[in-house]
Amino acid sequence: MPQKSADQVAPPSMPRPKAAYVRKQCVAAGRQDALPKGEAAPEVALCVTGGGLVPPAEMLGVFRGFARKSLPPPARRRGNKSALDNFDVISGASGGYIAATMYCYSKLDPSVFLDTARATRPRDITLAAMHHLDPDVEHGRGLYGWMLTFPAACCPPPGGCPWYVPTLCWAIPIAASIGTPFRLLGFGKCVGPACWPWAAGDPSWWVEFMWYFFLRPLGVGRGKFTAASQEQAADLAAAEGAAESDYVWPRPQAPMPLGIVTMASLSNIHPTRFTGPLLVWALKAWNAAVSLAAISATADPDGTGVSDPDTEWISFNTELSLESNRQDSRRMGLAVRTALKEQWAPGQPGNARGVSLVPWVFTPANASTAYTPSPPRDSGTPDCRDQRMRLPPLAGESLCGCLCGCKRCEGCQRTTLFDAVTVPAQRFVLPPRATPCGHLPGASRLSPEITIAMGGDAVGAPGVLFPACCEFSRTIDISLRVKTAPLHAETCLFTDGGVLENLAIAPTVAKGARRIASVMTNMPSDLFEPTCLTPQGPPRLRVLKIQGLAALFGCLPRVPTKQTSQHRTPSLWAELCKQCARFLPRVCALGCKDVLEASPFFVINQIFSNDVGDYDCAAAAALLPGVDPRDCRPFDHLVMQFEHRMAQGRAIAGTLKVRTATHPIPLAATHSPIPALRRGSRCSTTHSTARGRRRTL
Amino acid sequence: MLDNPFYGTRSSQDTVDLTVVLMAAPTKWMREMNANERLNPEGIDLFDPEQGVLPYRGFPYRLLPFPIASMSKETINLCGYMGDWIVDDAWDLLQSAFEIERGS
Repeated sequence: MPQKSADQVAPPSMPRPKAAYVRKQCVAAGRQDALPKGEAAPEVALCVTGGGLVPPAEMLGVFRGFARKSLPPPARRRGNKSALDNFDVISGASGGYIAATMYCYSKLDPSVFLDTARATRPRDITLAAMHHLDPDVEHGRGLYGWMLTFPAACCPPPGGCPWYVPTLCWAIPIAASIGTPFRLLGFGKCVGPACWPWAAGDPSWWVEFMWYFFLRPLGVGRGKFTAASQEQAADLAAAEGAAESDYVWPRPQAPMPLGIVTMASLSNIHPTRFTGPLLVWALKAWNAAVSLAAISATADPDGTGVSDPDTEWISFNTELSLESNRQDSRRMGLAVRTALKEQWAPGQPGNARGVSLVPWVFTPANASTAYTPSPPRDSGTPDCRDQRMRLPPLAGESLCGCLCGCKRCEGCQRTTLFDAVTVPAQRFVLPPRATPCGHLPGASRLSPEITIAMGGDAVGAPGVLFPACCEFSRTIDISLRVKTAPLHAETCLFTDGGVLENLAIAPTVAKGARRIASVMTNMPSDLFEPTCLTPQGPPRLRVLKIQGLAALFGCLPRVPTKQTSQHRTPSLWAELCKQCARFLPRVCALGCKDVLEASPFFVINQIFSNDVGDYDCAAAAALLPGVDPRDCRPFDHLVMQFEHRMAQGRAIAGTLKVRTATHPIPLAATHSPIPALRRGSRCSTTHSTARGRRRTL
Repeated sequence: MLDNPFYGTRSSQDTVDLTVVLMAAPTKWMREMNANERLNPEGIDLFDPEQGVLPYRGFPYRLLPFPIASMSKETINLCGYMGDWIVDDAWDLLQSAFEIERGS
């Protein structure tokens, strides 16, 4: 009998198991890697700034404009024709994330949802079109523009009441008096996922508000898990023992929404104690970097006898941090390095160390943070590998600690682990744990409305910036028990993403995006006012108004030497430092607007080099005739592009190709002063370079 | 690119192509809106902060950022028309995000 050769063996009769079945078995066996890792790194991103309801309103036209643009076949991704759906992600901070969520989760065709049939040219707009804006009657769902005009956009049923009714009648008295006992007794799990009105305080009303006005009209159910796609939802449902209907996902072919959220407190620590040290080190870092930079660009830059306070900028460049670079191979902006060092420096309030606001990034697939609080070598911390945050104690908390008797309260100096983590979205929120005097546990799952309520928590933002308002943070920020390290969990407070990075560019770049279109909404009306340098001249761009963008290049407004047009005085800053250190509730009285316009946390935002010529000069040469990009700083060139187009009456825009560091940091360079960015300067004539030389073309 | 441990950017990352658009009303767009006789039969400056008429007067005015109050249809439409025009006008820069040669 002839024997069968190896290639003649019959295939096994048992069919290959489905991916969902394999994942379910792996999860049952405790293998966490069976869960989907989420989406691939984005390549092309649209970033939207925060600003409450303004970004959703202004993005209607931007979305429509991109949706109308048709890409040639070689440039199309995922087979999409419209430019808008060729973005991999739409990222946003605060209100920008609301806009991103509205578009990405809409199931309607974009041409219907965005009403792309409207005219682009102003001469073709009719009076009737200007007054017309209706819902999509045929599909029974809201169109983008109509959702923003929803009448009585104030509260869930019974709707139609003034905005203060839900706050005064439900969020504070009823939700707090009924919801707080319910949540305390149920360890936060009582009556649904933080469901309004039974949950406690403002967050429940805020979450419900977000769902009711921005998700319900899209057909998105309340309290759903999120997934990147329907396929992933099916896999997750099988693995988790849930139903596919428990998940929602963005429209197929649509970009992924990506939101930035600020973690404003952790480990049940009182917000006052948490944000107090943060403000101190942020201001210390600011001042330290300023003194290192030894700026001499003060008054009278153009010899007119009048100085423009808006021109007082400091550019923090890597070449100044040579001493640190010798000990640390990282190529880091001076202000970022100083901030990192300051947060680990001894002598912080409450002996805190390593405490920081932490940016978290949320997508439908996962939640992640890249922050690893490892102290730099020159921070004075004995062990630079120690990643334990040391949290400042508070009298009340130490009392609770003594009462609960837990070991980590010993000595009233608690520590906690923090490390970069990426957690699948449906695993992000852990079962709540009741802690005496701790934060009330919040939602039990990460739903779309929870995410946009956290990211757009404008009410909670002042609690981060002003210690005096921190008392409110406990009740208005969303608290979740989450993983803060691979094997460690804490209850944390989350608040508005715009507190840290209002453009959402830094987290998007960190995710791997290489091509970014950034839309800066909510531009103030005085953006173009003549400055005191050119009182009779044509309106110019006030660079100070775009300092969020400047901060990405390490450009920060200088701590002024005299009272400025913004009424920000040296005494204000000095007083602010003192008040923050003492945690006294007098900061707001000193002028919240001034402090908000110069957030000290911007010191941690530099991700782009601002060295002279450290960008693709060849590509930039064609954009500004008569200007040699090789003699310009990148941010300087960007601002000049803004002004160039503005002078032509065109849309204000600029572009840069920010290069990878291809040249080694010159160790032989000295600590020469770096000239401040002067808005009146023109690179083509005379410009001081980073190495102290002057060039004349 | 620079290392930033707070956000996770790395200096080893590749080139970043950054295009920024400011949502401020372009004067050319406002001129064209004023020239539309259906919207502006009297030929005035619709956007003039004092002499203009709503919803154009002082646009883009400070919209209420707190997402509580609704916006008028005219305000939303004006935002829509302006943003659409801005993308069209800035397309020579924005298209680089999609790796299209400028001018094609």
